[in-house]
Amino acid sequence: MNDFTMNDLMGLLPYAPIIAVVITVLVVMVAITIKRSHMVTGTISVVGLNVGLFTLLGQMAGIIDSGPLVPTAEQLFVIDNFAQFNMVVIFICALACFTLSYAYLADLKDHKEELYLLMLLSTVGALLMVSAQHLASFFMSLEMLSIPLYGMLAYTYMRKRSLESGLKYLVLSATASATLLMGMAFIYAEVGSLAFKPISMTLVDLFESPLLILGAAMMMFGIAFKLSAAPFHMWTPDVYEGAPAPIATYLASVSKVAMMALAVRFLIDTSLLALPSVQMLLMVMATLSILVGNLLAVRQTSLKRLLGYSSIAHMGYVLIVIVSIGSAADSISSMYMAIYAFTSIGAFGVVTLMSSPYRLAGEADELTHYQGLFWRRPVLTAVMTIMMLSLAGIPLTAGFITKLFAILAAVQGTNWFLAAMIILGSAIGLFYYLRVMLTLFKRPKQFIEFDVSKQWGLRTGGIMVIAVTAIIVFFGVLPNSMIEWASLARIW
Amino acid sequence: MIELQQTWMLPALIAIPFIAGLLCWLVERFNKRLPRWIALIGMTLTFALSLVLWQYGDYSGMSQQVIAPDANVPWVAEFSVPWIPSFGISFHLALDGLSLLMVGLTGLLGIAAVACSWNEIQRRVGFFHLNLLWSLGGVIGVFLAIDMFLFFFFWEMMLVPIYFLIAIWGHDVVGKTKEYAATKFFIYTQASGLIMLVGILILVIISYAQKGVVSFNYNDLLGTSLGGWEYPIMLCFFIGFAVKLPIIPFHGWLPDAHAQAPTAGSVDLAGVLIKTAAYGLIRFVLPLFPAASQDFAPIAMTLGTIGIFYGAWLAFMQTDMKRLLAYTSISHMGFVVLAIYAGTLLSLQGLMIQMLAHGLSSAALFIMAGQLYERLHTRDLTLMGGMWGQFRYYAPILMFFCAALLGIPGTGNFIGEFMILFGAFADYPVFVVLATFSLVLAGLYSLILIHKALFGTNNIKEVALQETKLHGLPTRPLKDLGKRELSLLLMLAAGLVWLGLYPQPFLDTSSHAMQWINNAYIYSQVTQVDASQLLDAMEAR
Repeated sequence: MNDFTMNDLMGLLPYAPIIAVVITVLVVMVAITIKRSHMVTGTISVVGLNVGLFTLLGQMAGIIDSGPLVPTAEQLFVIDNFAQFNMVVIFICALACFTLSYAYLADLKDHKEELYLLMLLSTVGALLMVSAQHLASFFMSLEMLSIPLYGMLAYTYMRKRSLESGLKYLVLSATASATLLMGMAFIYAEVGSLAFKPISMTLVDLFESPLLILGAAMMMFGIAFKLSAAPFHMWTPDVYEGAPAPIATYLASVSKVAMMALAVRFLIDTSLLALPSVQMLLMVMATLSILVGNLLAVRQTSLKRLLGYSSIAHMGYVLIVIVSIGSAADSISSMYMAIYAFTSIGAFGVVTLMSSPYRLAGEADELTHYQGLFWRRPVLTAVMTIMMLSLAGIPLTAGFITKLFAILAAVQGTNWFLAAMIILGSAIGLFYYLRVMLTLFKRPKQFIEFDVSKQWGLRTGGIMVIAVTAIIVFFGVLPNSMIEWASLARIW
Repeated sequence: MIELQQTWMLPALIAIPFIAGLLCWLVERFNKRLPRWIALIGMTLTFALSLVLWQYGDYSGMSQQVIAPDANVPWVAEFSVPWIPSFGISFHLALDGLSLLMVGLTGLLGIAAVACSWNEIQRRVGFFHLNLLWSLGGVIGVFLAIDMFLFFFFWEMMLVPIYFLIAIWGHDVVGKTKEYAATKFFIYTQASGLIMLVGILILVIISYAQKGVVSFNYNDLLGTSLGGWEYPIMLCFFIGFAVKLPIIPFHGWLPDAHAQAPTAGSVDLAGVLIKTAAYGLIRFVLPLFPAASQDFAPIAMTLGTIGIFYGAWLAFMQTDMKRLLAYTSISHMGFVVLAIYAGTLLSLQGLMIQMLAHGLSSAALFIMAGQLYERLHTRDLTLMGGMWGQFRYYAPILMFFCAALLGIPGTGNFIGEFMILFGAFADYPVFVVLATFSLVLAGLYSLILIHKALFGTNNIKEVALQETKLHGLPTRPLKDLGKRELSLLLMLAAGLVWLGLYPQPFLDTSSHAMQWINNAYIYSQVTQVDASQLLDAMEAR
């Protein structure tokens, strides 16, 4: 009766990509105990991620059997089109981060292999987050993403800033998780169910009950912390600046994509998005994020902090999309987050290629380190310029298409104030994006502290960064395929 | 007759500058002088292609005095390829008389821009020409695009190369860096562009609600009855174009950007870029929102008239030659606003000639300012004097173009300004009278420029010596205009005189397009025009 039959095994098939990554974790653990080798560990991790990615793509294309896919609302996890799209994005971003870490860690004189373990575990958490549809799996997968991150952030602990960022993130993230749990408790107390869709069914009767709104708000605070939406954004610039460059890449891409996907699924499936209080909260958070993110970035001299503040602003734009078009926001926000993640990989990728863990001044995070980069490394400058243009939303880049969709969403929802906010934010944003671009083209300084090697374009990190740039430009000029793929990413 | 319905010539007009620009950048490492030749050949090809289109296109159609309100736009050549089908966006280019003349002007001024920076730009020549050609390609795209999304795409895209041109190869002036000027330009135009985007999106959504089909195509969006939305959307579009034109009070970016740009950048900006705003107003705002435009016309014309006087007054006060010319651009664009919102056939045709003539004359004057800077290393008018005796060719040509600036008969500027004034008088006599008074001020600033630069004591040699030493450059003997510079200026002068003495070919080319726009604006079917008003209006023409 309770035997584990073949049928049950078939039921696990949709989770095959995640299982692949979990198996990779185990293999890597064993490999480390057998013999420490940076190259072997890195290769196994990347191979495992690729196996997972191709399994997922095969399942999406229908080539590989994805098992009986009849989800129920009480399941902890569900692999629908929305989850699959976001899992693809997470896989690609994780692969990019692994590639960047490999080159970055070469200079580290400490144990290198554990970072891959932590990153793999965090990736498993991210993959589970986008398929969670139950408050319990919400929390579990969120913690699975965050806890390895504490270790990853402080991995280069000999650097004071790195240790500081890890501890800061630990303390604040724990507080946010506690708030999240309290919110979940309130919602459960009121509604009596922990799964998303059943919550929405009970919501109809309990509209505007104070406990429910309080619970929803507290959950939103926890989510906003992870997303670095104002006014829960204070950790972002410090943690981004202190983190080792490839981990900052990971934070900006995988962590944000996963959290946003989960937040969108949570808000839509539980119909909490229909509550006026929640909408008001989202609008306030969006407006504050755009203003805070853009205004505080204007005076920054550190590139990593600048990118941190810019991520706050972009989260504001996505929140506008969510609040404006409600249940149709799953595809648009997934597309926006995907392009934002790729752009972050490009921008932070350049920073990573120029940095090393412990050499002399450490990380290449000041803008002055990039002064005059065009005259030595034109292609790398082209990469950074295109990433800045994409973040600013200038045509010929995919960032423009996504910004267009954000404005379109605001206009469709007749939220004129929010549309004006996007325009204001873009205008302010131009100040610092242009400043970064200009610094690249200035006359170079006499003493060059940071540089990439002449053959950077032939190493895997360099190839990956150039490929991401090509993707951003391709989707900026021919966005049709991107729009079509994103429109398939619907919550079931 | 070449088949012009799905012609490759239109995308070629855009593609040639882009490819040539890319080639310039790539060959820079091999030969430092090759990029200039590639750029010159590229722009000459573009200009030649526009001449071919002029030759083979059929631009006639003046036979009907009043075109039926629902007649199609008289496109002479078209090219359409689906781009984002799920949103009804296609890569749709179209050409009529108006676009053709603007594209021709762009090609000609592109040649001028490349030619005038032959010796001026020494650093990173390839990248400079990439930016120059890409901005010109973007401008041509703006003139040819008929799909609203594509139009916006090119509108935003042409800003980035200009930003780099000013920020890297520009000049610093006291108190302001070139980066400041470039950033100001970019933020002004980008923010206004986004406001225009909101207007475009609302228009498309309303059209979708009415017709059930999503389309960004100009032909499909015409005639959408917008009701109460017409005025706000028109304002969004207006702001987008007003910043670019520029119309007071959105002109803040222009003096700095013009004055601190390199010569080719100024030629590009003053000659072509600000014409895109006028083009946008005629092509999009008047036909899409006729009733709102007519309601808004007095306000716009007030702003335009203020601009004429403001620009002229401030031009008179300037000591920097390029800043003076920048303010004269603001002044002339005030006439443009007058012409657009009067909307009669005569004023629109006058606008066409004015745009061509202003493009040529201001380009020539900026080129001459650049040539002077190459020799004297200063643009300060208070230091100059007595050039008439010093230079054999430079002085008379400068005098000619300053005369063109003030609108001397014989140059296209005269034809343009007076056609505009005639055309606008019937409906808006007050504004026309005020604008006519401003011609005195035009005389003032042109004559002050001539007086300060050309006449008085000849201290040019001392000034050149002093300024060259100040910049730490090696002193060279003061030379007059070389063959290249002379031929360039004479080419522009010839064009100006042709426009001034025999503008009929140009008027014939644009007449059908302008007639259609005039009809769309005046005889819009959306407004409740009663018969007596219509008869009066028709009698006035």
